[in-house]
Amino acid sequence: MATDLRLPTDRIVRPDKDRFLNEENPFEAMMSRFDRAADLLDLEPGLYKVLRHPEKQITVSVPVLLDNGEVEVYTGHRVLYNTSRGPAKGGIRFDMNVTLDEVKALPPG
Amino acid sequence: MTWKCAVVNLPFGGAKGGVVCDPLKMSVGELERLTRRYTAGIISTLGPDSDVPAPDVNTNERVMAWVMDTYSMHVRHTVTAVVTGKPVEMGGSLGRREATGRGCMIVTKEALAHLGMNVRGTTVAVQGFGNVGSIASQLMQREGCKIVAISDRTGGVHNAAGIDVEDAIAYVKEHRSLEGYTKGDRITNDELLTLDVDVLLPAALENVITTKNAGKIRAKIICEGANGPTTAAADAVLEEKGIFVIPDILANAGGVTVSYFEWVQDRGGYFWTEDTVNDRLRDIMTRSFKDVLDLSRQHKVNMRTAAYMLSISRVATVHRLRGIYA
Repeated sequence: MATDLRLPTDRIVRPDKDRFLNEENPFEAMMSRFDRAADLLDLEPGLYKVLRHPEKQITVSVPVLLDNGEVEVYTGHRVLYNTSRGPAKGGIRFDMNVTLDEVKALPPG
Repeated sequence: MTWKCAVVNLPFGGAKGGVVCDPLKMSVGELERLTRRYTAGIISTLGPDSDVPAPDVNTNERVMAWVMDTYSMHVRHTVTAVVTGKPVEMGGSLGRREATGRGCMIVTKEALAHLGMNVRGTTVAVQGFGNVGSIASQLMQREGCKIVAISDRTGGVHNAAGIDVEDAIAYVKEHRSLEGYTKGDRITNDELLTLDVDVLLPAALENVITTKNAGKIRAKIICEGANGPTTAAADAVLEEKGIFVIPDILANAGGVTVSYFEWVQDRGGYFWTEDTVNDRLRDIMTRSFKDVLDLSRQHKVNMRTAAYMLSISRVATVHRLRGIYA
């Protein structure tokens, strides 16, 4: 029998589903506004696809020696959305709600 | 940040990042080690010409100083322009702390002029009394506006005769929040949003204006000092009511604009006076407001849609000129 190579989905950190389905979802809010403007501009479909994908995503493990002598390993992300006009600019947050989905979903306003 | 930078025409793209942790439970030493290791981990994207971070939730000037130091140690020379939001003593810009609030004040004045309203005596309710809300209140009061309500996470104060913002700032400095501030009637954050005022400035959390309360908002102008204070569904309600919304990607772009000034000053090695920073910020904010307003008239759309149209068209134009690298 073949080894099950699927990801352990129960252990993947996922954004709160309710938040992503109700009106209070900043990612969807940004995207609906983006879509409406892109539509009014008659943006070509290829360019629309390019702009809806982040350019680059990095995920790193961040081991930290704690004051009590133990080591904790945190997870860090950096997502570059678009650098066509110049260097990427954007914040770094330290928060329990930072998942790659969340970082990607933060309105890249 | 891609769209925000494009609205005000800064030569920047957009990025976001962070570390999953609870910084309130960590010591300063642990936070420094975390920051430095994270910086080393993402160092391949960092650089003044490629990726320039800034403070966000739970990060501040001190954290930015560690990012700058770690990056500089790796590349073997001091590179101040790799990050913005640094302390003024090590390449930060004068006027940056006040920049977002100042930008809000500037675009609100532009909106008042556009609607033919007088700045003097304009009544303003401000939700959030942190960096953005308190500075915007202070500057608007200096311009002659009457700040009738302010709030923070502990609740708000309403005073139809006007709140002395300087006094409230001094109170918060001493007591850390507005809790117990008695120079007005206590109100909730929800009540603040539906007060009968000329200008509403949500400068705290996202999603505070929803379909549940949008119909009850009585302000003529909403200046979005916070990111995403209005849900997409509430946009339609506000538009139907004829409320003039200055969208977040324009209203709070003063912060990233002075971050841009910081980057420019670091790269030039020549630092401006605070007046120069403020004058240039005013020029960029007023010009951007006019750009968005012109587009909204041209296409008969609201300011938010116009702001997105402006920024998307600016980014799209560059993509078309550069082409797709095969």
